Amino acid sequence: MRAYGDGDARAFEALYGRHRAATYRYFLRHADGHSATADELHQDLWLKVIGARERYETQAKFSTWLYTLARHRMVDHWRSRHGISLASLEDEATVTQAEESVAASRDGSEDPLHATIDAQARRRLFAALGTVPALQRDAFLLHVEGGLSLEEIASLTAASGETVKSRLRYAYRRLRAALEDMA
Amino acid sequence: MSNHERGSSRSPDGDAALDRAWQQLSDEQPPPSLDAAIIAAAHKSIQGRDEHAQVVRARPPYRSWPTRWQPLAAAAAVAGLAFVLVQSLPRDRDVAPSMRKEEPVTTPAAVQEQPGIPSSSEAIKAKTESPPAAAVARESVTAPSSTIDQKSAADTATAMPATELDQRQIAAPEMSGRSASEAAAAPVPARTTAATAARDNVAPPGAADRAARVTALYAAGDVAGAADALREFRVVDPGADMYLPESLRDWARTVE
Repeated sequence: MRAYGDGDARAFEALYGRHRAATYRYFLRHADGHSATADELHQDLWLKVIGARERYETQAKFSTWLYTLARHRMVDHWRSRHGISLASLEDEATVTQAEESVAASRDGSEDPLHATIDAQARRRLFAALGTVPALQRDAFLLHVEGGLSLEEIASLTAASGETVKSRLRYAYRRLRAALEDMA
Repeated sequence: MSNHERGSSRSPDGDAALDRAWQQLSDEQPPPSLDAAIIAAAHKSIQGRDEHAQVVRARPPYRSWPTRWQPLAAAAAVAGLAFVLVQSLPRDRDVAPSMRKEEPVTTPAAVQEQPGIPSSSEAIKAKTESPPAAAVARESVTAPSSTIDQKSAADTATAMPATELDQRQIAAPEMSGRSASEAAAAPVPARTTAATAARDNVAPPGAADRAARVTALYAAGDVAGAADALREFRVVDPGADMYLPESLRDWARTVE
């Protein structure tokens, strides 16, 4: 990132190539598979990275800084679309509302071409992820897509390590249950 | 483009099977058009900065009026301050005139010492023996009064301007052939008083007494003593005859 800040465009290409898929999927999973929203959020994120190239300071890992920006963008998206805060998504009422929303989306996007086992597993898995409360889903995506450690997730979400661990445990349990049902 | 390596640091509560399944199933990529747009934006941002930098380099740096003239103003202020300090310091030439007044003037000798006139040392000796003459001598600078020609002193006393007379009197040591150091070493610096007395028409202190003594000796019949007293008087004051009564002046002319 410092090389790009000094005017090396190839450094940005390498940086983008390393993180592009993960950040895209981070948004895609949070957007319940809505690719247009993921495209928009993904582009906004990287344009923000481009704009911050001269102000970037090495205070943490680049991935931690990158997912901090990504998460802020995601929170802004939720606020603008749903009018709810990220923290409020953790209660059961909101979880139920999210599950219903995911189910409706799934029913409306049925495609015979994806009626394979992998496709079914994917849909089940992602549908199960859609039922996970937002903060737990966020911790899970930061962990499996961003490759961030518990400490890094705790740092950028301003939560304690135990809280992050609890959120991850809950997300894993939900997804494992979805995979067991599929088996 | 390669994907970021996922699952590099799994949590203790993580499920390895779930992680593997997630990696297999979650493999979406951003559309190539989005990648191209983002990379193009990154290149454009750098080019824009380079162009901006070139514009900034091509443009001469703007400096406000105070900034442009600040170095010159500072230099002028320092120079002015230095000039004022130099002017305010005491200089040698300011002190020199007062010091030069005390130095003997080294102008060429203008008057030669005439034979028959008592020497300077004798004149000084006579002056030291005569308190009134010594008091007169305090007015002088360096020259013994006897070094100036009696007649010329008497003649020039009335005709010569005071400044010229003073200058001649100041130059007397060289006129008499003595060095300045010898003159300075004299116990009582003396200068002719006859010319001064004639110029001012005021009898120098002691002149009347000397004249009265000569008159008294002459009246008492001691012509030789009167002659000696007159000679001593002449040594001190070349114009001594002028202080004598009219009746004694004819006799005084006979005294050598």
